[in-house]
Amino acid sequence: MNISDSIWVWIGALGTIAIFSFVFKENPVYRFCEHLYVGSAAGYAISVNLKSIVDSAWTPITQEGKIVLIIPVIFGLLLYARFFKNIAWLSRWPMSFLVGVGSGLAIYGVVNSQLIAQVRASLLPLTSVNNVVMVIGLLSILLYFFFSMEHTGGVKHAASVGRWIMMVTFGVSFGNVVMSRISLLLGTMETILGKWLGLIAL
Amino acid sequence: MDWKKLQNIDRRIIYILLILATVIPMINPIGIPVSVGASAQKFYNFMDAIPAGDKVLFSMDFAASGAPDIVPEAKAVMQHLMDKGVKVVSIAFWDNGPMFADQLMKTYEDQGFEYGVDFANLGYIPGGETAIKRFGEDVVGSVSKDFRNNSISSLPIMEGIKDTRDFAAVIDFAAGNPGTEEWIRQVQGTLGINFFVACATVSVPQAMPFVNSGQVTALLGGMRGAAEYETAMGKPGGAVAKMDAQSLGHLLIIAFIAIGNIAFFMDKKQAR
Repeated sequence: MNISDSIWVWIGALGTIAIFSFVFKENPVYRFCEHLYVGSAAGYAISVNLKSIVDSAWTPITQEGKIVLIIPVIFGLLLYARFFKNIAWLSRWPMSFLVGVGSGLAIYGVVNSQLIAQVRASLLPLTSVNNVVMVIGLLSILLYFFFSMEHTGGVKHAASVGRWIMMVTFGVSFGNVVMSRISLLLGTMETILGKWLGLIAL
Repeated sequence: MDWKKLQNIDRRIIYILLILATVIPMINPIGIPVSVGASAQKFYNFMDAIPAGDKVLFSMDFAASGAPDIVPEAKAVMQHLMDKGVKVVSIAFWDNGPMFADQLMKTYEDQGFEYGVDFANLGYIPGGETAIKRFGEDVVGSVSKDFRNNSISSLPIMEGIKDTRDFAAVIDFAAGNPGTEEWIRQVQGTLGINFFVACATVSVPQAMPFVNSGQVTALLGGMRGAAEYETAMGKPGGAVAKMDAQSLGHLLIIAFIAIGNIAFFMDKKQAR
C-alpha cells in the first residue's frame, strides 16, 4: 500500500467516497460534496468561457483595432435584455439571428448527412443474414410508425415484427448504458485504489 | 419461496456486491483475454498506416462525467501516435475538453516530447455546431491563441494547416452534443475528411448508423474500445486491466436481472 501524500488526491478520494455514501442514505456530507462539485464545475465553466470572450472579443477590439466585432458583442448583450420587462423585445433580434443561422446550417447537414446518406446506406443487397435483418428491421419499424392506414392483417404482423426489433434495440441501448455506468464506477475505483491508496498500478 | 422478496432486494446489497465484484478483480486480476473487434482493428490499422510527421486532430468533446470512459481511449490512441512519430493537435467544443488534453500532453512532455512541435492544444471554442463548421473550414482563422496563450502562428506544428482536410485523420472523443453528429453534418459531409469516433459506451448505439454508412470510418466504444485498442497495439495497459472488473460487473447485473425476471414469473404462476 502506497498512500498518496497529495492533498488534492485526498480531497478527490474522500469527496468520491462522500458522494457514494448517498447509496446507503442521504446525509449532510453527501450534500456538501454534491454542492462543492456543482459549484466547482460551474466556476470552471464560467472562467473558461470568460477567457473565450476576452480572447475572441475584448482583446481584438481593444488591442488589435477590430472595431467591427462590437456588433456581435452588442448582439450578445441584447440577449440579456430578456430579463428586463421594458426592453425584453430587444432580445428577439439576436435570438432570431441565432435561430436563422442555426437552422440554415443544420438543414443542409441534416438532409445531406442524416437523411440521404442514411437512406443510401440502407439500400443493401440481400446477400447476407446481416443485410436481410437490417432491411427487414428497418422496413418493419417504419411500418410500425406509419399511421395513415389501419394496422390489420399483414400490416399488423409486419408492425409487430418492428415492435419486437425495437425492443431488442432498446435492450442493446440499456446494455450499453449499464456498460457505461460500470466503466464510470471503475474509473472512480481506480482513483481510490490506485491514486489514493496505491493498491493497484496505474 | 418468497418470490416477492427476490423482486425487491435491498438496493444496498446490490451496490455492495457490485463494488466487491469490481474492486476484487482490480486488486487481484483474473486475466480474461480481450478480443479485438472489427471496428477497433480498423481504427488501429488506419492509425498505424499514418506516416511519421503527419498530423491528427483530436476533438475533445466531453466533460468530467464521461472522462473515465473516454480518457482511456484518448490515452491509448495518443500513445500509439506518439510512438509512431505522428503529431497530435487537439481542439474542444466542450469547455472541459482542453483540460483533459493538457493532462494527456503533460505526461508526454515529461518523456521528452515537445509542446508546439509534437503536439498542441488549441483550447476551447464556444458555439457548438457553428463553431465546428467554422473550425472545420478554417482552422487558423478560428483560433488566435492556444490553451497556453501562445499565438497559433508561433507553433511549428500548425505549419501547413489551413482546414481539417490537412489532418490525416480527425478523431472525435465524444460524450454528447456538440459531438459526432455535428462533426458529420458540418465537416465530414461537406469536406470528406477521414473521421473517427471514440465515444462513451452509452453513445455507441447512436453512432453505429454512421459507422454502417461509412460516414465514420471506425469507432471505439468506451473503456472496452480502449482495451481492444491496447490489445491491438500489443501493449495492454490500464483499460485491459479493468476488463476483468467490467466483465464480473456485467455478470452480476445479468444475474440480478435473471433473478428478478424468474421471481416475477414464478410469483405470477404462484398467484394463479
